Amino acid sequence: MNIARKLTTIPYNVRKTFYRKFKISSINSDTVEATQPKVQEEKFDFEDLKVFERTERRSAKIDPFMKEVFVSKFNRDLLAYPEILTKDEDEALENRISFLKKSFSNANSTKEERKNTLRRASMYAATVNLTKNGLAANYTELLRYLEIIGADLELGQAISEHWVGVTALSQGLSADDYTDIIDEIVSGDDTISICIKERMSDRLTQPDFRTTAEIDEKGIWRIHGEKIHINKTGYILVLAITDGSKLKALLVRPGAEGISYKDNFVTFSNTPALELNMANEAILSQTLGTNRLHTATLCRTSLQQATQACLEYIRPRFINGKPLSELSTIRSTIGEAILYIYASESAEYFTAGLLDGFMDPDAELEMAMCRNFISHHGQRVLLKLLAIPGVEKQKDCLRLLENMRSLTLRGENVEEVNMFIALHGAHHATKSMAEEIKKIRNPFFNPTFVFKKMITNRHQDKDDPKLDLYLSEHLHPSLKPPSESLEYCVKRMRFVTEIIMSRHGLEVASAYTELNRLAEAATEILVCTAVLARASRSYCIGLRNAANEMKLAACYVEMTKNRVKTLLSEIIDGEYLNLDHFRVQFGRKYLDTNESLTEKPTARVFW
Amino acid sequence: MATNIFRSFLRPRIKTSFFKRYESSEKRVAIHDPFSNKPEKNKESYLQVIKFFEGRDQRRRGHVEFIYAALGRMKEFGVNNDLEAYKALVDVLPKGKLVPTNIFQAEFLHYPKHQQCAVDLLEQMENNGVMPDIEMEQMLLNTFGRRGIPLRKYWRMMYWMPKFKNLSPWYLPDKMPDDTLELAKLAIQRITSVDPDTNINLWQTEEIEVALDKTWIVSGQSRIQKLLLAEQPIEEPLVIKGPYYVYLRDQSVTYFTLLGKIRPEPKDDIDWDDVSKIEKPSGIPGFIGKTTLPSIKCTVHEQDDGTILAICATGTSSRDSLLSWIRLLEKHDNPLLANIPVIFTLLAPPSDVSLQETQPALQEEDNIERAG
Amino acid sequence: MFDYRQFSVLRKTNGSRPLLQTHKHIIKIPERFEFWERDRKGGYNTKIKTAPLDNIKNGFRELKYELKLFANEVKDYFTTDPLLLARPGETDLLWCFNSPDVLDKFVTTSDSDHNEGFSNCKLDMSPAGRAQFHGYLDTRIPKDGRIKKSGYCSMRSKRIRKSFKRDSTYDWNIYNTLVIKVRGDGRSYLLNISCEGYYDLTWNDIYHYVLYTRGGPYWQIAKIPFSKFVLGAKGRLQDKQTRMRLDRITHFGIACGDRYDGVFNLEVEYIGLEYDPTHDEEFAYEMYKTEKFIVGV
Repeated sequence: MNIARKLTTIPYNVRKTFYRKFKISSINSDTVEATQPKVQEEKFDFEDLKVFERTERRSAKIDPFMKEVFVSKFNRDLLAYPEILTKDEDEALENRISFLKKSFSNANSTKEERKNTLRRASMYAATVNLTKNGLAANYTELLRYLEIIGADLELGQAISEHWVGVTALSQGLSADDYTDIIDEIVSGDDTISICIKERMSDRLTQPDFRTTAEIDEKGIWRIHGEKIHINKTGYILVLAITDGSKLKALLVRPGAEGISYKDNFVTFSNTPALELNMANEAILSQTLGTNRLHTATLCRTSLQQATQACLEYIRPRFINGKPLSELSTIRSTIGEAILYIYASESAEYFTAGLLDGFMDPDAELEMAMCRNFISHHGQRVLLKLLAIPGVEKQKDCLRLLENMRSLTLRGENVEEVNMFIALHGAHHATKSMAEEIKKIRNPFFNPTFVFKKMITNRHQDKDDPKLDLYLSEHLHPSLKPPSESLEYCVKRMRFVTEIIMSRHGLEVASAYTELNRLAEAATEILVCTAVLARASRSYCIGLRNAANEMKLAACYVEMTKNRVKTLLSEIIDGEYLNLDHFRVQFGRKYLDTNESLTEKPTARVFW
Repeated sequence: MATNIFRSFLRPRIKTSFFKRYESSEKRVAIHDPFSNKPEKNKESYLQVIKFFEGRDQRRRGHVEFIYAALGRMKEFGVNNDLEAYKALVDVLPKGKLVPTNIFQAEFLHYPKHQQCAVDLLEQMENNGVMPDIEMEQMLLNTFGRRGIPLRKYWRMMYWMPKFKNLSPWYLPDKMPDDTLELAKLAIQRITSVDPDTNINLWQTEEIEVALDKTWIVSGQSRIQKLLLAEQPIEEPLVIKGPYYVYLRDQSVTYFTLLGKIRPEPKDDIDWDDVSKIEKPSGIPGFIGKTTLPSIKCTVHEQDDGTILAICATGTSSRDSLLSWIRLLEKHDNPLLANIPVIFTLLAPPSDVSLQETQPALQEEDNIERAG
Repeated sequence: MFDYRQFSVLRKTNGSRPLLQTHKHIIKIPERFEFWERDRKGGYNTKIKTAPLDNIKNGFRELKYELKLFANEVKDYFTTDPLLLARPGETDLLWCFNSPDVLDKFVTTSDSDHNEGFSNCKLDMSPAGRAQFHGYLDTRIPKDGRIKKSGYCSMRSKRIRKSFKRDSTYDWNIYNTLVIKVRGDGRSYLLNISCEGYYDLTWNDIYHYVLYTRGGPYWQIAKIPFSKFVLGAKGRLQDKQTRMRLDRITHFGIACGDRYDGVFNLEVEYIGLEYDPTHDEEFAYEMYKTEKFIVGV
């Protein structure tokens, strides 16, 4: 295969160089545009010459990356890892970070000190525009800040919700309302927290989402309902239903009437609130989705903390006459943790790059995938890591575990996010595949179509798709085998999406187990892309330790290729062959009766 | 004609010559029945009779007939489900004597009457559902040898009976309770095993002051049924149907059901093949589920002829106890029952003497007072 | 001179010695013929005698109907559109009891029909619009010394026929589960699938399985795979068990004979067949190797 490709690409390369040499101009070459410097106008605000808006350097809108992967279309330009910040911005960023580090890396600083540091670095106003005394930080910068702030997990969670809340306010409120409120909010005394999730309903006739908001005679919106709320803060951004089924976001000020807290729940009864009238559901889902990206960073930071703690435990200890750090089991556990941290980091910054680098980004799927990735693997790896100190460091282990657990369950659990990812991807895929699916589901009415499909899918059926994306051309040549693994995964996605939809039709939303697997496979594909892109870039530009990154990337991709392969082939096998049906039946039998399924091994019928 | 004459003088001759010796005023033959002499008919006395028979005659004359007679009397002594009694009967047969010693004896059903008797004994065991055990096999082996027919029947029993014993999906204990209250509880548990969330309550009618019947009520209602009851529109009356029977092994329990309005099945014309209509999921983290109420007919209690809202079994199965049941249901978290009319459709209850109806009661309106 | 008791139909087939027949007070216990089965119905034949002229008239009336049926069969033979596979999870209904004309396909029998008992049964439509098989099961033995056990009632489907009254069989090869939706009264009923063959050895082959009902007003769907049915002949389970031959099925029936006196009541909504791909059991009863001449003799 490789020989054939080499042979076929040689004439292509020859042709291309020949063409290039003899072309009049090279403007039409497709890869050239991406590297041209952009010239943009700088906007001035004449009232204060010192402060001006941040320049808009984003490129034109592109198709959503992961959604296209569901139909096996890959945007190869993104394999060049995004580089967002300019030199000045980078310097400012590094300054601020070193300032924050002084107080956050110090384990003895109190919460008050840290809050003060945040205020002085105007972290609370990080997302606000420069004209309003904010930092206008874009997502990449936010991620860098959050890594440092995440050393104190509580503050990290609070500030990430605060950022999301402020962005939501800026998009949801009209300009005047916004200006009124913004100064109070960015002072940092009362941060915004977001309340969306509610308790599971325990009555058959209740809808699942019960908080309602009505407008009363004086024109003030009043909220009724109960929400899950973990950290108690001043401002609360509440999601409620109005007029039957329309969703609205409302801001509750600190000290408003009718709020009562109990355990992890907050109850509103007739609480007055400010309505975010410009925010409809689409905008809300975009902005609130960035919460997921921040959760991913916090999870990763927590995992990093755990690795540090393990390291400190391992260093001074010995076993069997040798230092503990020479044991291969410990080395391999730490190595695995490093792999996942690296992978998650790459994916997060990749997503942030997608958000910052293009106009009107549609990266909800990518953000959800980042979160899912690290929550899913982080818990597993954390347990393995914490097995190293074992019970000797009980308190610390418990603290780390609890941190990870509350992070992964923050707002939603992994299955819900998987469902979101898969259904979104399926929804996008139907745009191009709906007609085909209809024909596949009625094979006897469309026999010619079925035959054609059988012929075109003959490679996929043998689990050997034609790898014609040539991703390796956009990466360093040493990354050729991993890029082929990535191509395989991407190529299989369309086939599998087709299979799922033709199998279930409109009730695809009820095929939980299969959609779960599809979402996990897509998540792994995103992370592989990010990892390869980052490694290739760092090796090409000569970053320090670039050779390590290359190895990390190659190892990670090889590791996940097998996992993705199993996941996708299990979907293709169907519910009987992948044993889903039986698991569901056993669970159902146990839930339908109150008794156990089997007798004890010592039971007898006759003596 | 000729045969009639033939018949008429053949018969008396046999009669007169036989009974001439024993002429007495009483021409009946007296039968000694050891089973009927026992004052108490229970397992002990049964086993005593068998022991007495064994000890009476060293040669045990007539043991086959004795075994047949004993088998017939098992029911009145109440031991027809008892393995020990059967083993004692098999013990009556002599050991060692009935074993065939050569191939011809084995092939030609050595001691056929005894073998048939043992087979009939095992057949009665099978009919009553008694599982034999390994000791029985030893006894049969010692009595009839390896090639005996009863042993073959035993092997067949031991192959099939264990396979069929536990086939029923609803567990019933081997020894059924005698008390009607326990039986009613078992019955209601069995009926409501459809919904594992059911609570089965035991109430006494004394809790309602105006009740005439003093009895117990076993009622089964699950949370979903409570909700369905709460949704019943006030104009449509509830119906109590009964008495129905449910059998638990050989006992039957009468029960009554409370039916609500018939809920229609949801109709949908969705084209399941058109995937372009998949809903886009809301991306808001933490927002799960729907904001609208669930659709109709999604529980097992909603059926074609009504929605089953509660089941009960009462001690007397009378109209009055059912009234008390309604009132008790209302007391326990079903406030709507105070306002809804309830129709009783009882078939003529067979054992209820307090009713003075002359025709079977099919439909009668019986409005509970619409007090608040 | 010879007084045939009308109820004792069995005597007709067994009586051969004239001397004992003349004694009215001696009831002859029918001997069991173990050599061959003389009669397909085992002696319980109740043929209605009709005059030959009536037979000819009825025959001509049936001819038109049979010719139509034959024409349909020929058409089917040429169009050849067999059902190749059954979709898993879908039940194909054999009999759906929501109108009274389906009840004509079934015949009910009980032991009182031949004066062998006192049970009675009936098959009609229930108030809920489904078929209801109900009656009274009585285990009292009639005191004429012929019967040892009594008490059964059953309903059985009529034999399906091709055109011109040729007997045919059901072909259920593509299915492997029997599905029946019932509402019972807690008693256990026997499902009987009769596979009469051509030879008299198999005339009484019936595959049995127990249908346990929950009782109560809730419907229950019982799915019984064909691998669980047990072979029996004339009520006795056979030693050598084999899997049911699904293309030789002649009758299907439900019987009540669980030896408890009392009223019984079974409401059936439908009887259908299904293919369950997860059930790959060939036959549920394992066979053991024993010494020679013990099993099956």
